[in-house]
Amino acid sequence: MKYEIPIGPIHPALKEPILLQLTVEGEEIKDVDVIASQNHRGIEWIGMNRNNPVQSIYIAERICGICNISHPAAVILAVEEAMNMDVPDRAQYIRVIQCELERIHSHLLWAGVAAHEIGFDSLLHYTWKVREKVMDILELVNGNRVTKAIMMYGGVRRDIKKEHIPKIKKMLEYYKEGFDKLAKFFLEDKTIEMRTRNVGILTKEDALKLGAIGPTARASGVKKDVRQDQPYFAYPDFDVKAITPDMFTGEVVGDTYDRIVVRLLEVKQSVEIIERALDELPSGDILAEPKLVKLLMDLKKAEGEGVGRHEAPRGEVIHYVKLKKDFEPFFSWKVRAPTYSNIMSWIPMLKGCQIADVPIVAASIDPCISCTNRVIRINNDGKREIIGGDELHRLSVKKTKRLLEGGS
Amino acid sequence: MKFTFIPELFRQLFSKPYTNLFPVKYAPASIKETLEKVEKGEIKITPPVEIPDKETFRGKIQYDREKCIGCRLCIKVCPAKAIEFKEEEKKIRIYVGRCIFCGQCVEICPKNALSQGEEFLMADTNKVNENWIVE
Amino acid sequence: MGVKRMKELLEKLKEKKIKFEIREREEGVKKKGKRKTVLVYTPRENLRDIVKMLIETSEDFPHFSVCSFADYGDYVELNYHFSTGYGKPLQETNVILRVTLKKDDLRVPTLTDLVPATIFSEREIKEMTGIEIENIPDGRHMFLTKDFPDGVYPWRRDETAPKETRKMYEVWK
Repeated sequence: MKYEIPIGPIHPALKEPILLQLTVEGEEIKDVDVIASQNHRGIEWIGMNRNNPVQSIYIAERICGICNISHPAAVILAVEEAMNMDVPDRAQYIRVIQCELERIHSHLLWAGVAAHEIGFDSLLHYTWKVREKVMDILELVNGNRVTKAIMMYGGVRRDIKKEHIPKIKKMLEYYKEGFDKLAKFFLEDKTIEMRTRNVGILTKEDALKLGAIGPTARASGVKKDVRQDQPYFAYPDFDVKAITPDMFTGEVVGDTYDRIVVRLLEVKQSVEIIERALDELPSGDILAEPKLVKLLMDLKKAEGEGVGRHEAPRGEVIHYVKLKKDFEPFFSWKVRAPTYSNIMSWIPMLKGCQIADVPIVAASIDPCISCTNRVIRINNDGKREIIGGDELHRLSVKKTKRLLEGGS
Repeated sequence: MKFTFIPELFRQLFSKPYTNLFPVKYAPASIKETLEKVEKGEIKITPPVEIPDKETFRGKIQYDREKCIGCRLCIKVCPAKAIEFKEEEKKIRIYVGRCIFCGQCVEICPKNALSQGEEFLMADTNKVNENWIVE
Repeated sequence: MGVKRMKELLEKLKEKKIKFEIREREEGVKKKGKRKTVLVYTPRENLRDIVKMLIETSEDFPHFSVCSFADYGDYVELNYHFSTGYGKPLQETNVILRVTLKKDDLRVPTLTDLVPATIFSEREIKEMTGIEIENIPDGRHMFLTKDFPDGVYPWRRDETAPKETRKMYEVWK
């Protein structure tokens, strides 16, 4: 007897709205359908119609709260290619440092979420405590913990101060010392091994065919990392190597456990990259065009197209930008977030699993649904009346006011 | 060892809490009453964590009315459209409730009329009261 | 794809008399690396052949990223972003297959049987631009809701584009 079980759109196992339609026979999952159309924001449309390119950096930053360096990084790479702009050396190094800081915090965040999904909440709190160190550094360097607003066409907006460097190095020491402990908790613990070994297997062939990227693909043995294959910023200097689980365990299984291995090793790799980048930080300017007004004029006059590819913590993020002369917004803007490609690997991963494994398998690709869903919902003129965002907002304000007046 | 996390768990029992106990040590039965008491000065709240670097910190926007020449460049770059132009006075009005603290307007201002302060506790039920409109 | 494999592909393209363009951009500070892009002006009838060629000449399997789109009024441009040759430092090449379509004849063949990863993008292209995908195995909406009106295509720049709605920052106060 087959049953259909919907997981989502709002479900405790998924932190963001997406619908997984599972067909089950007993406990075993036979078929999976992913329905993504739950959360629409229309970010590309705003970038193509309303905003000028400088404003679009900040809307790109808000595509995802966690990859808030990755999306601006990809959009500036695309625009710099379109405008054929050269970037000062120091800015390239600062960008690398920022990107790697983001990778550390994102992977640790994911590790905590993974522990939470298998019910290991004490480890979640421990991991997030460890993560606070890098968040403190992000606040120190950028003045903000989450949306750092650091990327700008032709450079970065803020320099790394001399007096901050010792503090960053202290943080790196903390992670170097703490790494073995973290690896012991995650990779040697019986609970985690039982819940993740041989669960949610993605074979190398499936990973290639379905276009999986980032840690999801690397855990299946695909040595694919944009920082290695097609380096950008200052990455050619660091000779980044794609990390696969066989470096640690000696074999590639492609299961959830391997994905934990890859992410933890990447934290270690990021620490090493930041350390080298700080030592070799060149001096000089941080912006190719410090006058913002002139930059805006140049952007308006520019014509061309570019593809920005950046290795975000979750995988490769691609932005395609087309600029047209005398047309201020992007003429064409396409954002491809990593989860867009990785969602498809849910289907082979989940088939044959048990229902209880759905949360950890779903979380193992580090899904970022808000990254993926970026579409508009419009007020239509026809028969059906769809309540728009502003109307919903007005209603919610009204309700809050009513509650306040009621004194509850 | 089979369960590697157990020793750490016991260690955690005897270590100091990592978090800052903001705003009060224990969750009060009524937040509203507690806040009223704070206003009267009956209870003191635990202060939030200190700002790590006052120079780089990006807090609530500050506006120097005298320096402003009404060039509207800040309005052009504001990603959140939080800035409004007042036609008759040729000055601006900033809605802090919409502000995303990117500091782009501070950067573009030719007369340095805008800056970012240290204030960051801005939770409010009314986004448009006089505290959150800078003009 | 290694350099040799890339040459193989370009020769095959020349044989078929298909226009292409190679773009390079230098990256890096001390050590320089080149980002290579091959832009192939693909006629619609050759699209599937070229994707087959791409699969043949790739060492692993060409990675499909996404489809992008630009509307020029009387014609539209559809770009298929592929990349090949990953796995070795500095060896990756972006391959963009550009299909130009006239506004009154908007259709392309499906690639899902050749490259399974294209299904999401094809569904997205179908709903966002109104391009008909021939023989698409799954034609449901991808990101838009089920009850999204027909004949409204958010990425277009003509009368089928959605009308400007009231802006949040205007109704906000």
